[in-house]
Amino acid sequence: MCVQEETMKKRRGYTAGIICACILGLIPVSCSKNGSASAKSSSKAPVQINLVLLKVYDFSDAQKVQDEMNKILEKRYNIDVKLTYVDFGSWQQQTNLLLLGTDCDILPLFGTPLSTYVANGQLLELDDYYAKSDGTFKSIWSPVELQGTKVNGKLYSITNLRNFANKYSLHMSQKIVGELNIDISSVKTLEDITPVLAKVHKAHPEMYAMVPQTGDTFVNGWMWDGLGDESWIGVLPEKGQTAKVQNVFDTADFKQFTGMTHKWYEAGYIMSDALSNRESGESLVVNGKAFSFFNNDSNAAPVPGTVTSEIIAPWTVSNSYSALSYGISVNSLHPDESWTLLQALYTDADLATLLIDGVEGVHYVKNGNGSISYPAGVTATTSTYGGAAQYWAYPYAALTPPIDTLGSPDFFKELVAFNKSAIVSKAAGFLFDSTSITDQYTACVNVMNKYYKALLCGSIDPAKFIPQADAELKSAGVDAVIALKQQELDKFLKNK
Amino acid sequence: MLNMIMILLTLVCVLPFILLVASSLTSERALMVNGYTFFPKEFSAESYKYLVSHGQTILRGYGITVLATVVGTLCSISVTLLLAYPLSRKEMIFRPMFSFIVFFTMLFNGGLVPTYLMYTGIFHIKNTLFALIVPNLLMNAFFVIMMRSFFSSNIADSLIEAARIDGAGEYRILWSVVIPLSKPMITTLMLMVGLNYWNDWLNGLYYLTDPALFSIQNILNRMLSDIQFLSSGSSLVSNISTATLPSIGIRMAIAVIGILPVLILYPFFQKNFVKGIVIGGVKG
Amino acid sequence: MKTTLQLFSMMIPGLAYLLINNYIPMAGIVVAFKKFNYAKGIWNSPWCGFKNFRFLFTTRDAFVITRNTLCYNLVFIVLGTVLAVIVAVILNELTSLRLKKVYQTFILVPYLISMVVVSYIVYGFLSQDNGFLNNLLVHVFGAKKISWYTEPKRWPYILTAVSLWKNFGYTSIIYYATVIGIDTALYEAASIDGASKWKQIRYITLPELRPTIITLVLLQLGRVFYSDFGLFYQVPLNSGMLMDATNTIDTYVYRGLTQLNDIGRASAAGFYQAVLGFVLILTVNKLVRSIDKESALF
Repeated sequence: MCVQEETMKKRRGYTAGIICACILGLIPVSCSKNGSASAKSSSKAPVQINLVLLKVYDFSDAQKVQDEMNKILEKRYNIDVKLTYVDFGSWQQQTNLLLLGTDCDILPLFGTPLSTYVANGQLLELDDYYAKSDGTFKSIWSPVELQGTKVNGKLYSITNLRNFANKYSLHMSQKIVGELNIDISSVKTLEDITPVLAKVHKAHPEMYAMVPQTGDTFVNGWMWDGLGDESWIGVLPEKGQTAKVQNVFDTADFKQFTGMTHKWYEAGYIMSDALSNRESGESLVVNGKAFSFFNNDSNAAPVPGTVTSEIIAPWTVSNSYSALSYGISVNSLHPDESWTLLQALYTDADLATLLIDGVEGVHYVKNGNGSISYPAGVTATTSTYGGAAQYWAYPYAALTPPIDTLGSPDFFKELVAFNKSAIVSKAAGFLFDSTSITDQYTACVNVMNKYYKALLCGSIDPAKFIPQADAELKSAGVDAVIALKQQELDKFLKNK
Repeated sequence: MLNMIMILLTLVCVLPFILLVASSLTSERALMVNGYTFFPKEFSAESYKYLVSHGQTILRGYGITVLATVVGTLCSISVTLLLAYPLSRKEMIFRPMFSFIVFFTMLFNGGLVPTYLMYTGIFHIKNTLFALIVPNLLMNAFFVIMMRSFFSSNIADSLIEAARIDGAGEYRILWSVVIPLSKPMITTLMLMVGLNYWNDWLNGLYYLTDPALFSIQNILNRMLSDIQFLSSGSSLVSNISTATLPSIGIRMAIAVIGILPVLILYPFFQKNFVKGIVIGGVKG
Repeated sequence: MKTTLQLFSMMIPGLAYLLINNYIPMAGIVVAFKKFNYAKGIWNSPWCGFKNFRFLFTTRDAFVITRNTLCYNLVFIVLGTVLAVIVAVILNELTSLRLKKVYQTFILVPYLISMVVVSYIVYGFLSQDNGFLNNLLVHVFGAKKISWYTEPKRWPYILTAVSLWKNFGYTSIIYYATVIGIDTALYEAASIDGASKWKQIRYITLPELRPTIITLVLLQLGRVFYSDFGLFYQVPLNSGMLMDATNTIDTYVYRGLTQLNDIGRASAAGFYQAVLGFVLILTVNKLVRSIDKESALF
């Protein structure tokens, strides 16, 4: 009986093996490499370029806008564009799949550090194209800003127009400020905030005096420059004015911040469920559940019902320029035409206005003063083409008139000026490539996930948990990560 | 006594659902201030009004979901039964090998990337309805083995033999003899496969960018992913005004409408769960 | 001969599907041993041996995640099976057809609620400020509020309860379908012999269910190194403080690789889980075979 079983199993395994081998042999036929025979556009038919875009609002009229854009594109460049909008929540998953195939030519890169895209071989090098582009295009970005999207000295994407600097302010409920006569001009530092919170907590114990910026993230950044990744493993404190990379938990900035938040947490000012929170600070305040939250408000429209007081003056972090940038997929079938379109989006005002604001008369109306408004009765969330409110996701909104909800008809001019006025971290434009120490990096990321957010919102005692986190980081290999970051940063600074 | 146990279990299962429905009928303010309650402090139908105002999208989502589920389930059952029946017959040659081939797929998987490349590069199912029907859902080794086991232990060999002697081909036997005798199990299969199709949103996420083809679950999950993005720590989070994100009430409302059709239709399936027919007392 | 041909022809659609959907893509497992480059594709990316597997083992968390995954799954399998069988048997014993339908419909409800939505519901219970449980503790029992989302020690129980709640209704369907297929003549004969209800269950129902139970348990064992991502990531609301109790291989891989888009490592993790599960199933199947040949999977 046993012998029979053994032979049966052996035979079975053997047969299975043969089948697998046959199948494996068939694969190379099916998964052939693409992109070899890109049709040169000597033919009359316009070349179709797939432009993938970020979707925050509704874009049910994308087809209409696409048609209008194609009228111009065909005439001027013999190109057709196909707009594909992908929601930001599913962005990473969908775009990584799109980049595997040939369905995506131009896309904004965000969510993943640019250096990772490059290390994975997902992007086309743009140096040659850029060198041959015209003066208008080259004049848009300063060398520092362009540097931000260069990896290993090669250009892989072009940054887009949005706020490059973080300006952290405390947003407070206007109603409560008025009710309790709080003098917000006196709120300039973390220490100034304490008495305000105490006052509010005493008057309104049913409310949270302070809540996280969004979800479980108390603040999305503060005084330390993360150096290109969002994991904060090895940072430059003091707004990047020093060039020595340190473990974030050991920096004075972090200890000061968490010391304060822990004090506030213990006193009951901070929402106790901060780590399980899923709502934004904005909705909590607007709904009367909270009094204040920190926010990075350097470009967004003012949050209704709140007043703000700046705590940290604007400063630009290392990955500000690469946080969102436009690149071309390495698997694109029409790289030349893709570049032509990309350039056009940065220089052609008609195209940019169509792409961002939609069709005139249908999606917006012009005001006399250089701004535009939604048609009567329409708001950003009900518009069928909501690009105007998310200008920061498009290549170059400065070519277009701003929507009036942004506050000023010169909004984009002011934005450019704002970007220029910010303090710049020494590491601005630096991108960290972690691929050589991925194992330690991954292990460190898991440790950071355990402690970073919990420390930030003050729910655990920094005096006790920072040493614990440090010990775990050390055994995860944080020293190797920091050493590598320092090495790469030094090289970057030398080459600047 | 038995009823008591079942009532308890049922309550445990249903109460959270009622909580869900209740919070979909509570105003955003009350949800933020009081949390989830069974009795809304501030009753509000604003979530459902939102759904009605997006009625076209929602109805479309339903349509897609129903279409994918019905077509997918029918195809899936056919393929599964056609594979399970021969596997259950001892006279089938290489039976253990084929069983292993089927079973092996449950353990090893090439992963998302090769599967994606296969379906988009070779079969071009991106942004087509096939994307909702074929990948990973059309046939599942688990169900094949389940049906095979059922056929092996519940369909007497003698019945099959008798039919063969009468001159029936295998297809005829499957259709006239085996399937009628397996009604409870086939109903179970239909239910499970149908639920898999109904609840699936991954295929939609991977293969669809055209909103016209989003199923209800796909819509809901995209919405929920958007909200989760807020906690991701990306520096762009500050740019996204939370005014665009659906409130808790709306998320709950979409969850409710994703579940209701199943609850309404399920009793119609149940009439097939009839007590077993006496199979003439002969068991192989 | 004719029979064999016909039977074989029936299998073709299914086998063709498995070829397309599972076996050809399975070749992609090689990605686990390569440094995947988008420009080069699967076949031209360079090999890198076992490097992609290192990140799973070199950390102190490696032990924690494997332990968590295994232990939770074993508990889920045992308790889940017991509960589902009990429910199936009870449903079978009930006489009112209407009540049966009602119960069956309602116990399926949890399965239909997606895990993310379940996490909202759990939050409704465990929220520190106005969660149902804390309200109960404070107002009814006069005890102190518990901070559920920052203390890991309670979560094995919470996650087990949630998993059982979500799945028992669904799993009981399979057992129920099997139970009602049991030949009623057996029961009649037994009651004529004077056997009590309990004896009938013990000596007829359960043994008849045994093949199904063994099949399902074996199938679940094959996946014992995988975990329900929604359960372990969404329900604890991705809270860092709970990770020692809630991190599994799948969530660890996801958390570590989210920013890195590292297909090679993700594939390596999947391969690791598959191989371990395979070895386990082969072992257990052999054991089962030696006890009861018919019940083995293959």
